[in-house]
Amino acid sequence: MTRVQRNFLATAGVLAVVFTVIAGNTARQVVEAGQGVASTGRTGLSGMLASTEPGGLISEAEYFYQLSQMLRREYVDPVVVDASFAAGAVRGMVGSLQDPYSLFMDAEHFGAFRQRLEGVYDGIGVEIGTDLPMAEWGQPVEESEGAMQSLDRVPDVVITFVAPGSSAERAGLQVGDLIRGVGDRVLMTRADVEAVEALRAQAAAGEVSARELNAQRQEIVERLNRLTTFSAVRRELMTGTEGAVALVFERDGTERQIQLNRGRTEIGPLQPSDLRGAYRPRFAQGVADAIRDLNGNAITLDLRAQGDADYALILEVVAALGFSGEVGAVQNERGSSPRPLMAQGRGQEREVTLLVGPETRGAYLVLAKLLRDRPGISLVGALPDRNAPWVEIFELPDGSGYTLNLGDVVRGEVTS
Amino acid sequence: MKAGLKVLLFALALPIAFVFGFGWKDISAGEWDFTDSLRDWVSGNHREMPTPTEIFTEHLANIRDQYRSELDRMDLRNAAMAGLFTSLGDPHTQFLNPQMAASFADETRGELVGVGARLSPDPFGALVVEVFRDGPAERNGLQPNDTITAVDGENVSGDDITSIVDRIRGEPGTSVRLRVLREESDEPLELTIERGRVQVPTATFRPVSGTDFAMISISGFAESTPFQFDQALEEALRTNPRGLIIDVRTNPGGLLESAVAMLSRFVSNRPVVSMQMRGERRQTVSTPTTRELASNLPVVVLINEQSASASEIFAGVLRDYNRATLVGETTYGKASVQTVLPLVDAASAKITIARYYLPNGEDISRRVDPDGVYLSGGVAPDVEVTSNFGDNLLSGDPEQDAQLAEAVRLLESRVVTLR
Repeated sequence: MTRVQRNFLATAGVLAVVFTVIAGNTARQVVEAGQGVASTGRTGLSGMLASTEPGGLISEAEYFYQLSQMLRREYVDPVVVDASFAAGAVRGMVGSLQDPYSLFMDAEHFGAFRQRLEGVYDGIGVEIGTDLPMAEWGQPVEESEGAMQSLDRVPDVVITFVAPGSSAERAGLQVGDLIRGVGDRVLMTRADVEAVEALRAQAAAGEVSARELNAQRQEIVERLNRLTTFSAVRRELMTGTEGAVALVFERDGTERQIQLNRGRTEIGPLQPSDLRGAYRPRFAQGVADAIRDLNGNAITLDLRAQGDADYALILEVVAALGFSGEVGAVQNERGSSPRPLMAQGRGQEREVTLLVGPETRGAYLVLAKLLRDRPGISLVGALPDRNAPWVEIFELPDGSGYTLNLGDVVRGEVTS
Repeated sequence: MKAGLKVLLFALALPIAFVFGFGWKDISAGEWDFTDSLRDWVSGNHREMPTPTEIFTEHLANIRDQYRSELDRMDLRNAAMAGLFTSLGDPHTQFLNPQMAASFADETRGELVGVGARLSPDPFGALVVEVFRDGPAERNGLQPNDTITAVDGENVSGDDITSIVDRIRGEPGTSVRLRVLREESDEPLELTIERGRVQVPTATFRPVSGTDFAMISISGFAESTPFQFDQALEEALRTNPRGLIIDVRTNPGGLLESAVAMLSRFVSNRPVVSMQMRGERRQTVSTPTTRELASNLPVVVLINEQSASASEIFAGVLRDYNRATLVGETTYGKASVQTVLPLVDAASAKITIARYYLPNGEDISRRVDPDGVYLSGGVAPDVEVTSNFGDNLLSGDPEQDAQLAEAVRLLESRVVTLR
């Protein structure tokens, strides 16, 4: 090889290495563009150039982008702007709704929620909810003489479902039991708040001595230091399959404490009810088929329950009982037209008895409202005169998700 | 070199060069683990994944358009930004909506004067924790452990402590009427106090009743505190104490320089705190070479959950150099500096830009979960003693103060050897 050729090869070789380094860096930028990480100078709007977007939407997006970048630039620790940032923002928005049917769940909770919709229950095998109807959420208590502050209503946390075969069932927990504490942490109750209010009023009026005030004050502060949140209680009781949890609950005015192990329980979508011959559906995968598979021309469904549900399956149950068409609609308070709820009937016509009562809430109430007064349907018990919100489930790329209250269900006049 | 070997080396150099180029951004920042990004590139994930902004916008629209009722656009946006900031798990990095931003700015202003007392939050109004010597409150009969339940005839039970303090403060020369509950009297007392300028003492010496130990209470780390501390220390040493108790409970902090100056009385010419700013190397601050005033005295430092910032550094450094035993409850976990950046619409972003570390490198920053519940942080005591609410923290009397009683017990038993 001549000297020129050798030099040429050497130069080409060096250039090749240099260009490869550049290629690697460029590939990195492409990846990061996909992750939403900006290199300097980009405005970040290139993913949202759709000109059909109303002008207002772009400013929220820009705000989010700018704030994320600000955190990334200024925060003391290195920060990666990723899907969890978006999840945080969504959590904030859903939380601000203060609506008991709209709940954000982080990836761990949402995963457990999705599992429950397939009949798999982790933790101690319960579902919990709050007993306060939406209309009363955050309403002030009546102002009593001397009380200067109005209070928000504090909901009670209650067991709404006990999975058959779970450690909760074995320990004797029942639907309706009130959760007062988990581990060494306690949940604030309405009674707590009302007692503090009464004492404050007395203190202000000078009716109670400082000595007595001190004793009460110690108790209150001691409790405040041990407060936990609804979300933390859900995590302790409804996620995880290892370890044990100490639970304080109240039934019939008495508090009790028990220790339970976490585990995993699997149940089908149709459970025998405590009333012989009746079944309680869960709006989980497979429920429509399970209902179709029931023998006989007459079935009884026990709808005196509430719990996690995939509302789309309500329509499948309606269809499984033989109904078709627009069975109802979701009405909202924003003035836009109601959204129709459609069923595609694929079942045989049967005599269906629905058991209802004051415990009928959530998806069960929706089902009852959609079915009432239709051919072959009879109701036993009084249907609560309460709104039945329609709830949908949304998931985010990082595995978190939320439920959203879309409005109230009204029954439609329909074909059979 | 044989030609074959050269070709082989060249063939290897290319992929290495590629990976090097790919990871250059991280390598130059000192981070060597860029395998996640590499994996994404290989799998083509980046082509399918939406950006965080796209995810946010999709769900903002979803919630706004599908929720059962109309939502205020600004409230929704503020809630989203507040949520965005909480994903860092740092309670001091916050989005301040316009109202919060305005009241935060107000807190740093204020030429109003008070009555010369330190108050703390109480479910029934405000608890008087300290009455300043020679102040208007002391002259008019306000005592520590009094509970203020009404100000100028208006009930303050259940009010936020800041609003109660705001009511009590006012123009110098004007008066304020306080309704006060005191343990010894069955009827509430009505006190009228004339507001005036008060010199807030930040370091005071108190003998500990029934013992031959001395206590210095430090309520803040102001510019004048090192001077006041030296005076208090000399006053204390004149009583020939067998041990020293330094009380930084409910001390929210202040100037780090003051804490460092005071630390030099115990540990001189040693590194006491290092500061880390974004992207820079840690810088270390050391105490000057001075006379260590109290080198032979065993020391106990009292801490509680409201000890923050410079207090935590002060206590932590003395512990790390084995100069003091810590008694009480875990401190707050504020050893960081925030900057407040104004945003376009009168909102602000409060962001942590620097952290302080103790000499042993420990990061005491408070971390919370998305609900704000404490996860970790603060300086833990060597001996944990919880306070019974209503303990008179400034009585200097071990019978009225459980944490002080434990400090006395430790000093007596000499478990605390020259520590």
